[in-house]
Formats: sequence, C-alpha cells, structure tokens
Amino acid sequence: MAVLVLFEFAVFGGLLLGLYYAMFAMGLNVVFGAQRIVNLAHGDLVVLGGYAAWELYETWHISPIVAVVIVLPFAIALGFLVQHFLTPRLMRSADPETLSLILFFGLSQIIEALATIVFGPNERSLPTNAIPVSSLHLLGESYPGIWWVSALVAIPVLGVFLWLLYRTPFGLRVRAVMSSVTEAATAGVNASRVSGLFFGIGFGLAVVAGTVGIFIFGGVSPTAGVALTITAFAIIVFGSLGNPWGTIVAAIIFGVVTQLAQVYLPSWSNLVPYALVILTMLLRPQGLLGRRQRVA
Amino acid sequence: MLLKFRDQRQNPSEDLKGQSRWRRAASPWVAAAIPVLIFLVAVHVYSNELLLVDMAIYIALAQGINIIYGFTGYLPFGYFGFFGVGAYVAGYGIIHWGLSGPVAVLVGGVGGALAGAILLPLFRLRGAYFALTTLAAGEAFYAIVSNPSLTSITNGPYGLNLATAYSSGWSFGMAVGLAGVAILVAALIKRSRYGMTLKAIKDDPYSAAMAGINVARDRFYAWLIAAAIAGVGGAIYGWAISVFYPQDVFDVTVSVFAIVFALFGGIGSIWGPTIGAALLYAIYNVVGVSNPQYFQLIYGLIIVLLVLFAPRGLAGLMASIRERRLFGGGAR
Amino acid sequence: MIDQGVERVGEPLLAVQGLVTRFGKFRALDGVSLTIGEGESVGLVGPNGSGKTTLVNTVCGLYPASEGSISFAGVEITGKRPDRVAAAGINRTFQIPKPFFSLSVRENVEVAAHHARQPHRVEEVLERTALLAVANHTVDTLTAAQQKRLDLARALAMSPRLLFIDELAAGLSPNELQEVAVMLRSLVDEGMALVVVEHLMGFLEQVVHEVFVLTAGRIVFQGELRDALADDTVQEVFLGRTDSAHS
Repeated sequence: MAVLVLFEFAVFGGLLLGLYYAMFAMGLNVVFGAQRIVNLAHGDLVVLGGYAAWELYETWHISPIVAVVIVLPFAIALGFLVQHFLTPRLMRSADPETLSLILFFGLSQIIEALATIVFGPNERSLPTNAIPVSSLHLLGESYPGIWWVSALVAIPVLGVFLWLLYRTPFGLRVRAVMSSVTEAATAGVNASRVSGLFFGIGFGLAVVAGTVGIFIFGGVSPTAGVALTITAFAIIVFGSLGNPWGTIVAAIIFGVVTQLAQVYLPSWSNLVPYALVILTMLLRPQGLLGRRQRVA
Repeated sequence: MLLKFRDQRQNPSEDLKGQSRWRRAASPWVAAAIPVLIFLVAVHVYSNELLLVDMAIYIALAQGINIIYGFTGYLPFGYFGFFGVGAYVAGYGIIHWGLSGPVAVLVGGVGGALAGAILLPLFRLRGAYFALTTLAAGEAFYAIVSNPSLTSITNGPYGLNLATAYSSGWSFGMAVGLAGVAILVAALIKRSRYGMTLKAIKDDPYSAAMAGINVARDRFYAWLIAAAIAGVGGAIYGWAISVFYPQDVFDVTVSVFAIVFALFGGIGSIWGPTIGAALLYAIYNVVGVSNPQYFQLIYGLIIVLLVLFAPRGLAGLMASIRERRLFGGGAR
Repeated sequence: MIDQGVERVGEPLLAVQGLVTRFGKFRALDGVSLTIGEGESVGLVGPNGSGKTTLVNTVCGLYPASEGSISFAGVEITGKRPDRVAAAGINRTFQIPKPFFSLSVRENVEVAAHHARQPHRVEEVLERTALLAVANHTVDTLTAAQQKRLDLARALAMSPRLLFIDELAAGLSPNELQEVAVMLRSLVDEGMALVVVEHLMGFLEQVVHEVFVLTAGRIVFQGELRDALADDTVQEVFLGRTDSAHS
C-alpha cells in the first residue's frame, strides 16, 4: 500500500513540478525559436531571478510573487537589448551557430561573476514562509505548498504566453519567424524587431521562473546556472526545439520521471536531465512532437 | 595514416611568404621545444611548481581543443569529462593496481581516449548540439563517478587520495612533456595531409566524402587524440595534487578555460593556444586565485569581445596586421 | 554531333533497381530503375522536387536507400559510404558548389587527388578546368563560375568512370555555358559516363542525346531528348497538372 502511495506522490508531484518546469524551460525555447540560438545564459538568468526575489524579500520584505511583477520588465528589456546589439554581428560571422553559443556562454560567465561579486559565492535561500502557503493535502497525500504555488504561478504565465503566441497579431508574426525567417520576411515581417521582443519574453520567462525557483531548487548560488541550463535544454530538446506545446508536454514528463527517480533511485536522480539530452539527441533528435529541426 | 601524417604539403596557403624550407620544416619542433625549455628553466626560478604544472596542462588542453575545434570544427563543452575520467582511471590504477605514477598517467590517457570512443555517436550532431550534448555527457560522467552507489569502485563522492604515489619531479616532468607533445602533435597535424583532410571535413563533410575522405574515421582520430590529451592532463593533475574530490576534476571550468585560452590565442594556429593558455593562466594566478569571480568577469568579457570583434584570437589579429602591411591601407 | 557512345557490351556500368528513398513518410524516390552504360552520356530532367538530386545523393551514398539496389561495374554499392562510392569510380558536382574554403584552389584538388592515390593528376585537372591561373588563390576570391569548375575539378581528380553533374548551368553566362559544354563533351569523348541533371534544355542538348525524365520520384520517360520534348506525358509533367499522388 505504501508503495502505491509513494508512486502516486511521485506522479502527481511530478505533474505539479512539471508545470513549473514548463515555465522554467519555455524561456530557453522562446529564445531558440526567435533566433535559433541556444541561450547558455538561461540558467544564470533563472539564478538572477532567484537573487532578485531574495534581495527584494530580505531588504524590502516584498513577497516573491510580487517580485515576479517587478523584475519582469527589466528582464524583457535586457533580452531585447541583447538581441538588438549582439546578434546582428553574430549573424554575419563565419560560424554563427557555434559562435553564438560561445557568446552566450560568455554572457553567462559575466552574469555569474557579477552575481558572485554582488551576492557572494554562497547559496542564498528564502524561508518557505516567505510565501505563506502551507502544504496542501490531496488524495491522502501532502504536497509541499511551494509546489502548488509554483504550478499556480506557472499556469497563468504560460497561459498568457500561449495567448500571446496564438491569439495576437504579434504572436502570428513570431510564429512566422519561428517557422522560417526568409518566408516571414517576404510577408513583410521584420524578423529583427520580432526577435528582439521575443528574446525579451524569453529572458522574462527565465527570470520569473527564478523568482519562484529559489524555493523549488532550495536556493540559488552563482554556479547553479550550468546545471539549470542543461536541464532546460534537455526539456526543450525532448519536447522538440521551437515547439511550445512540446516544451509543456516534455516538462510534465520530465517532472514525473524526476520525481519517480527521486523516490525509487534517489542517488541517480540527478542523472535524469543528462540522460534525457543524450538519449534524445541520439535516438530521436526531432523530439517528441517531431518538428523537423536539423540537429544532425 | 602514419604516412599521410609525414607528407609535407607542397603549398600550404597560410604559410608566411618567403619562409625558407628548412625553417618551415623545423617549426613544429621549435614550437614544442621553446615552451618546454622555458618551463624547464622556470622551475628553477619560480618556487610554485604546481602552478607551472597547471599551466603546462592547460597549454596541452588548449592544443587539444585546437585539434578538435580549430582543425576539425567540433567544439566539446564536455571536454572536462575526459579530464576527470583520466584522473580517476589513473587514480584507480594507483590505488587498486599499484601502478606507479607515470604508468598510471599513461593509463589515464587511455581512459580518456576510451571515454572519447564511447561518445563517438555524438558526432552525428551538428555544432551547438554537439557542444551541449558533450556537456551533458561530461556531467553524466561526473554524476556516475561521484555516485554513492559506486563508492566501492570510485570512492563515490569522497574523492581519492594518491599521496602514496606523489612525486613532484616526475609529475612536473610529465606535465611539461605533455605540453610539448600536444603542441608537437597539433603542429605536425596542421602541416600534414591529415591536417588538410581535417580542414576539408570541417569545411564541408559531404564534399569531403566525395573527395574520398572517410569522414567518420578521420574525425575520430582527431577526437581520440584530443580526448587522450585531456585524459593524460587530468591524470597528471590528480597525481600532482594527490587528494581530490570528483568535483575537482569533473569541473566544467576546465573546459571553459581550455576553450577560452585556445580562442584567445587563436584556434587553427600553433602558437596561438600555447600563448593564450600561458598568458591567461598567468593572469588567472595574479587575479583569479584569490578572487576567482574577478577572473571570471574578465574572461567572460574576453569571450564576448572575442566573438564579436576577433573570432580568430590573437593569432588572427597578428595575421590581419601583417596582411594590412603587405597590401597597404585602402581597398584590397 | 555527339557520339552515341560505346557499344553496350555485357553489364551496364551503373544499374539501379527499384530504388526507394524515404524521408519520414515521404517517398522522394519511389522505385527508380535505370541503367547507364560505359561511356554513355544521358540527361536527367524533371520538375523541381521530382527527386533528381535525391537520386544523385542516394547513388553516391550520401542518403541511405530505403529499398532497392544500386550496382556499379557489377559490384553492389547500396549503402556504402560516400567515400567508398567515390573510390569505386562515381563522383558528382553539387548544385550549390561546396569547395573547401580554408584551402587554396590547388589544395582543394590535391585533397581528392591524394585520396584517389593520383597526386600527379592535380596539374592536369587544374588545366582541364581552366583553374591553373588561380591555383594558389583562396576560394573566396573565385567567381561563381570558377567555384563550379572547382567543384568539377575536385570530382575529376578522383578519376571517376561515372560523373553526375547537378545543375551546373544555373547562373552561368552564355560564354561560360559554352566552355562548360565543351569541357563536358571532351570528357564524354574520352569515355567517361555522364549523367547531367539539368533544367536548361539548350545546354543539355549540347552535351547529351538521351534523357531520363523523373517526376515525383519515378522515371516516366526514357529516350531521345527530342522525343522527350514531344512526348505527352512529359509535357504534362512540365507544363500541366502536378502528380496529385505526391502533393
């Protein structure tokens, strides 16, 4: 009986976390869709969001939920600026794909260094009562309050994002660019301006994920970025690069698998994202939803 | 393949104009010997031997990146994985098989090469995807080696203690030797037919195949060489510091440094990665050991500036200056 | 005008049987069968997307065949690596030339000549493709026409018995077209088999007599070029309705 209970816990808990992971990974997917660039600074942006939440709470006692709203415009602006100033030069270079990767990696190092300089190298965490929700019971199981909250934050954020993508003229232009930059150009879409805002949204999603993430991950430290970026990459690759629905489905599966691993094979659970990347790339590079994205 | 290695190209396009035959032929050996000699002198002048060992290892790693990225076009973010595997295989050899340090180091190199062979299927992937998947692979190696369940084999998260095999003279000598060998190998490849083959593969694998090149095999050799260099480097490092935890050798910073050093100096050139590694590692020691975050800021900025303004690194800048002088100011 | 070619003695040089190449569910080649004799020159025409380049890529081993067989000089080459196919004696040019940009013109040819174990052919090939003058230049200084000739030079350095020419004519001036046509004819005269994938009929006429017409992954006509142009099926394929089974 206890076995079944654990299993249920892992599955439903994984589902809740999966919703959070969807928001967490979507930012990386968005930046990729905008300019076919893998943003290696993604994890560091998430960490920045965590630091922002920490700072706002510790210094001004602002709830992390409110912090989300405060940091969002800054993040969007940052993303727009990065795209606007950096990517045009990149696109003209000899090896744009690898060089972009290296460039964003450089950005991630800069962010990490600044974070260490400002906040110190140690992990920062927030007490769970910073978000006043206690654990909630469902079907005889008790799930940590923060899992509920993060899912409840993720749902509207993702909802707004999907609405933006599928129900607004801006979103239509974005989807045009995502499927083909050249075709979109012939339809008069200024890919660069679209990309800029889209980058901004990607950065915004990452930072928002970070403000809640400081609880999910137990804290933030400057070096946590790499593992987070790989995890997000694993999710979006598994879900098909550039496909937002794919990210959501993949994130939920990822959440469930990770929770199951934590229950049944705890010492190996940190291997899940790495195994996911490697297996997906080798066995089904086009991901779950099979959008034809050439990785090989 | 050995024969191809020694063939001299008749007309290397990047040759300095007017350089005489014998000087061209001697260059790889000179490029390897000079740094080696400098190290051998420096150890008598400078007391921090471990620093010199580290610098020599990074020169080697930068040349390894030069071979697999500069020549062949594949950037392995997960390069640190081979470094860690080398350290652990050598460590295992010392602890469980009673190997001496030098022998264990060579076995570590083999371990690195084997790890490279395991990752061979990743070559199907392009550019960024290859880079990131190797990163995941490197982290996976770490997660496996440091796993508490494997404590009986790798001592899990508790690290290894190789103090019994400690020998500072030998580890220094092997580190310098590794640097020399890595530079030599890279230089010899570059001016050989094999180097030309790698360039063709990097430029266009389909066209290369139709030119009779066995792309997978020739690429594999470069990868094995690079992986072995990292394996030996990791083995020497672990041996030299004697006591280390998994996270000390499976450290993505190793890849980062190697890549940044190589890029900074100029991939594709021979002296570039050597000078890049020596220079930046020296700066690291002045700035970075006490304040690693400032060094991280510096090299983060270096990366961004390099990519945007000088993707061919120092060597590229020197070449541009020379070109401008040869062709004069004004339209080319 | 053009020698009809060597008498077909014994086995054909290239024999393709029931070749199918699939991309996911899409059958780019849907059961192609054809033979090319020693020294024969033939055209391969068809509308865009009919599978011409796919056929070339599959025969050369760059795409895996899903079904069917390819044999060259009596030897089965289906599924062989492209460098093995090149070593066997088949080569090709690319629709968009793919030279090695890091290497000089001469080195581009050297790479191939060396792997064909014929290093002495380099000068000969460079002369043949009128690239001797720019042999030491880097590839980025070449004109588009020169890059196409370099592609050809690279293929010739492997001494192929069968050469696929993939849409060489696009973008060339009338003079350049003439030069290339003369070059190709001289190759045929020397006994090389040629398959010329081409849209430009005027150019094709100067090089080949017979054509295969490919549409939606199948050969729908095989015979003399002028008969092809007059054939009803062929006209429909080019001018009329598209094959609905493959839209």
